[in-house]
Amino acid sequence: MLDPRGLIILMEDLDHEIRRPYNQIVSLQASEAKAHLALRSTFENLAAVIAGLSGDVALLVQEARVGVDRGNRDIARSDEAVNGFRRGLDFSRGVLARAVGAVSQCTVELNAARAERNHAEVAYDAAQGQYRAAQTAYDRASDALRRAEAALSSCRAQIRTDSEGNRIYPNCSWEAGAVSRASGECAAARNACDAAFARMQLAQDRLVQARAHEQRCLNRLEVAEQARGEAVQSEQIALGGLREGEQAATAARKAHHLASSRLSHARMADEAIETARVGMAAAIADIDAVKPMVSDLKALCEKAGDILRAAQRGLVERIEILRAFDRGAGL
Amino acid sequence: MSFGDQAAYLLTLLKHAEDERAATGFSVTRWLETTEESRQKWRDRAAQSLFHGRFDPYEDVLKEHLGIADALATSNRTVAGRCQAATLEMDQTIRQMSAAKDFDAGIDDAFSLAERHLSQGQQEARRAQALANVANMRLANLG
Repeated sequence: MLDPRGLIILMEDLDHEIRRPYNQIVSLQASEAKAHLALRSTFENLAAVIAGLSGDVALLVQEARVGVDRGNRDIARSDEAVNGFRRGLDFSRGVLARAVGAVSQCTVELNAARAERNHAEVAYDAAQGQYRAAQTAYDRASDALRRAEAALSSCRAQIRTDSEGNRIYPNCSWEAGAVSRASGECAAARNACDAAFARMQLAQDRLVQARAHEQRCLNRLEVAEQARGEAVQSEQIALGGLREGEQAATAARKAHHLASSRLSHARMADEAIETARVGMAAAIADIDAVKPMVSDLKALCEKAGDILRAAQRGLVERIEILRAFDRGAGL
Repeated sequence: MSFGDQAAYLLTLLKHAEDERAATGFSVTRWLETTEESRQKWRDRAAQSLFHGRFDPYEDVLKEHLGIADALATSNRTVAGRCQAATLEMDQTIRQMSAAKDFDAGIDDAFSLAERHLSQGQQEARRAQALANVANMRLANLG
């Protein structure tokens, strides 16, 4: 058995040591409570930010979807426009082909008209020559007739009177025959001249017609060439329009591609914020679940404090008794 | 306070609580050793009353406290991990939002370009059609 002094030392050691774990759990409880509060505060801040971000992300996803939808619409619209531009280009090319054909046909017709007009000119020149020759022949026949008639008159005027006083008329039968022949020749020349004139008139009419036909062909060629020029211009413009449409389709596809990429990132953002939101829901469940533990720690500290104080009182009482015993024993 | 600062502060608190639990565990062990040693040396009835009546309940409370603190620390670590994971997911969210926003200007430009080309194409197609119609009419009049 220990002597009283040894027991006093032992109890003083206990009295000294017993407070240390109590102080430690009090400090630990304070730290745990502080950590718990800090966790809750962090949670609340994060939850607020996540709520705000969720709204932003939802808006972003919605906008990104609208962008993709618009991309789809623009692609369809530009593809449809490109098809329409191709049909327009085909139409322009069809008109151009017909215009080229018309120019070719009108050129052939004009060449034929020119040949016909040349031919008519030559015929007219020949008819003019023939008419002039007929006129000259007629003039010559007229002169011959006049000379024959003068010879006949001269012949008939040579009436002589014989010795018996009888009038002797000259024999003008040859001159009369010459007049008759010259008159026939003059009439024939007149007829030939009239016929030549009629042929010349006909040739002239034909020449006028040929010239009019040539002019009409020339006019038609001009119209055809004008149409061809317009068709060429139309084709070039339609081709430019088609290229614009193809560029529009390319740009629309690029816009759609970019909008799809944006939607992809927006969805990833949505998934990430949803994961964060689910994690925070689990976190608040954990925080709420341990709330009683924080209260329990505090209650245990108080309970430990009560026990500690009672134990210390017991120790002090026993130390005092032992000291009194020790003093008595010493006496 | 930024999330980074908050996280650092939280980690400091958790580390501090961890240290406190370690120190508490050490001091409780030391107290248990002290009482065990005293129990061996001091075996009279008065002492047994003190041990049974005071020190044993004290020991029970200390052990229960440590047990709860351990459970709480485990939960706190889990919550801190969840908060950290949420922060990373938020970073990912912001990165993806920023990446999505980076496409805005390009998308607007591409849509504008498509609209401009389409409008120009339609205008030229109308002009070409009008010219082709005029040429077509001339050809029709030619017969």
